[in-house]
Amino acid sequence: MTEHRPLSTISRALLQRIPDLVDVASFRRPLQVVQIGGAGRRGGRVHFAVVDPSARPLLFARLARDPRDSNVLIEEERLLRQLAAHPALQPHLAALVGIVEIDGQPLLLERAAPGEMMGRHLWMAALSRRLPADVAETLPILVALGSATRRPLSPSDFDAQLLEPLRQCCRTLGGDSGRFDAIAASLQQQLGAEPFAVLVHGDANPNNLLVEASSRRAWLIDWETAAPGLPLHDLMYFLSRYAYLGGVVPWGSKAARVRAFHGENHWAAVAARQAVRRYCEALSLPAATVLPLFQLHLLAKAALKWRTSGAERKTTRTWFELYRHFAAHPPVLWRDFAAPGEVATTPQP
Amino acid sequence: MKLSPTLTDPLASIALHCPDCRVALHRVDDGLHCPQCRQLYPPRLGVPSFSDPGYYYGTLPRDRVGELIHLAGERRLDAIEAVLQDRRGAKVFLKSFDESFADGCLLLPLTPTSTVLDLGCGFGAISLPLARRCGRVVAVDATLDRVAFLARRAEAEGLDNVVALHADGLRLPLAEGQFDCVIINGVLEWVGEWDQQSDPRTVQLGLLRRVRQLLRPGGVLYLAIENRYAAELLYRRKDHNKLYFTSFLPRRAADWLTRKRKDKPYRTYTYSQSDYVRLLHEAGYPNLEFHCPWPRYQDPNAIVRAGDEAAFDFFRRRILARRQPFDAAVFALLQRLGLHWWMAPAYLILAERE
Repeated sequence: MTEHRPLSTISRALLQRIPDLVDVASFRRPLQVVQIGGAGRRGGRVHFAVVDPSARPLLFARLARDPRDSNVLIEEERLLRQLAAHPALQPHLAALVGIVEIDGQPLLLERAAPGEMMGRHLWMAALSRRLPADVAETLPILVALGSATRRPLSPSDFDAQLLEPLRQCCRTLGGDSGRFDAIAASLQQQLGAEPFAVLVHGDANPNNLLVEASSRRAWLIDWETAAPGLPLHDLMYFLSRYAYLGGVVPWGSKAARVRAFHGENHWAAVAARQAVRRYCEALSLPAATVLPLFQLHLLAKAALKWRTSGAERKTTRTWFELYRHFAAHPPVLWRDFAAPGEVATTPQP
Repeated sequence: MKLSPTLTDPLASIALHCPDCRVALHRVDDGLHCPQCRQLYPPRLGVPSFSDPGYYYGTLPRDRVGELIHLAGERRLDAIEAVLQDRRGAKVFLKSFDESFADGCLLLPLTPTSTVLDLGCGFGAISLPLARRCGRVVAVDATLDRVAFLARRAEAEGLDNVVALHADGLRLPLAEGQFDCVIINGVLEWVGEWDQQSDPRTVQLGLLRRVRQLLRPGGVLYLAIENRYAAELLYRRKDHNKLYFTSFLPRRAADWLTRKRKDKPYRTYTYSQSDYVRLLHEAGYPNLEFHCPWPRYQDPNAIVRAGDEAAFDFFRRRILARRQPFDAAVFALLQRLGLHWWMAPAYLILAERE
């Protein structure tokens, strides 16, 4: 084919702008761009990876499919700058370049973290074996996030800001609000006069964690859904991904999901309990809050899906059904959490 | 029945011609009127209609689409998924709500004032995401139900810059030189079926030449289409006639086999990369750019510009290997042989009118 003026716009413009934004002296050139589609839903993002001649990713740029969502990227940039100011969190964040405007559309540009996705190992046979090592790498990040962003609230603000949205979601999706009130009351009672909120990443799943094999350093990426929320949410969600997501257990079979994680799976269960115990110690969270926080994290996930995808979407329903199930049948794993813990038998990675 | 009120204003901003006489149409109370041939084009289901309303193409039964048009008219888009859950033939429809369908269009040079034509728009998988990024989208389809649904969906989503037209791709009621961009996504391969009298390539060439007239000078055609020699056609995917391997055969052999097995001629022509270059040069598009979408052009996980080897390496090792390890192994071999661009599943072609 003959050489010609390039027609595709965003990747070309991105390549032209990079030398102004980043010190490219250390990069091997020429650079090339791959467009990677993110989640397909409305309001999703498209990613652009900038790679060097040895196919190593150097930068990632993110663009909102719907230009009306662009302010979300701008807010995320502001948040990332704030988080990077915390010395405990900064090593776990990808280095931010900033917002680049191309054809009037903002792109969020970050340097690529050198690690590999933790979630690449999530297949059935490796699952319970992976959990202790994976949670050991993730826990310090979540503890640092919780400690750095912990914000005390008065009991009435706690109810209005954190519990009321969940109550509304529960009411709209048709839950038993009596049961919700009991869970919320038990949480408030255990937290006492000093309830607090933390910044919740919102999607701390193994695909958003990058780990460098040589140094065992980990990075948490994709902070788009970050918002103030209940403590322990991110850790519970991370653990939940090993229980019932990623196609590991079929969505339809509730009994299998429950068995896989909340009963007989010893390796995973011991590591999960130990991680939760450490998190509680670090944030001085009473052990008796673990069960209500576990139940509410499922509802919080349903509420997030409800806000972004609507009440009738499958993802919303699935999370809500999980909440309903575990609100009625508190799992053994978290029910007796206040009891003395088991001996630490987790193998070191 | 009158044109629905939300359609009237955007409709005024595009130039409509009589598909037969190519004379500007007049708006009258009961539709659009050609002053030369005296033909009246009344709106159907609230959409300007220039084609046979009896024609239907789709995997969902027609009465079910009627139900969906009703739901969209009542702005109950989120109820649609629940209604269609596990229904036969619903997958294609539900996928049209997946915005990644339009990811390829991010390659296009669009501005908030661009006017775009989506030829073969279906239920609006591309037209609607595009409408959020550009000035005006004209969505054309030959199946009335699809366009009617699209018009109501656009209304329900608050997009007032979408013009839905029911028209046949070979008889487009549009004036020349008014589009910055024309989208032909998964349509060109079917064009041969529309005119059974001529050779399929001639019909395809005719459409491409007609589209070239619709484009402004410097306008870009976005063509998304399968590759005739896609590697996956050897081990996984069937050709458009629902038979294996036929695209690899010479056309006459493919035609003989299709007549024998499917009782119809082979008219769904796809081409190799170099044949697309030849076809598009012949149709008057001198400046071309090829991109390869994986795994399909409909909802690409990744799009790599043809010829970018480092980008392809990154994609194969980091993305394909994780999602489709077998395909990654096949393409590792093909890359070693230098055949990976030639055997990519499909192409997104940007073709500029000089």
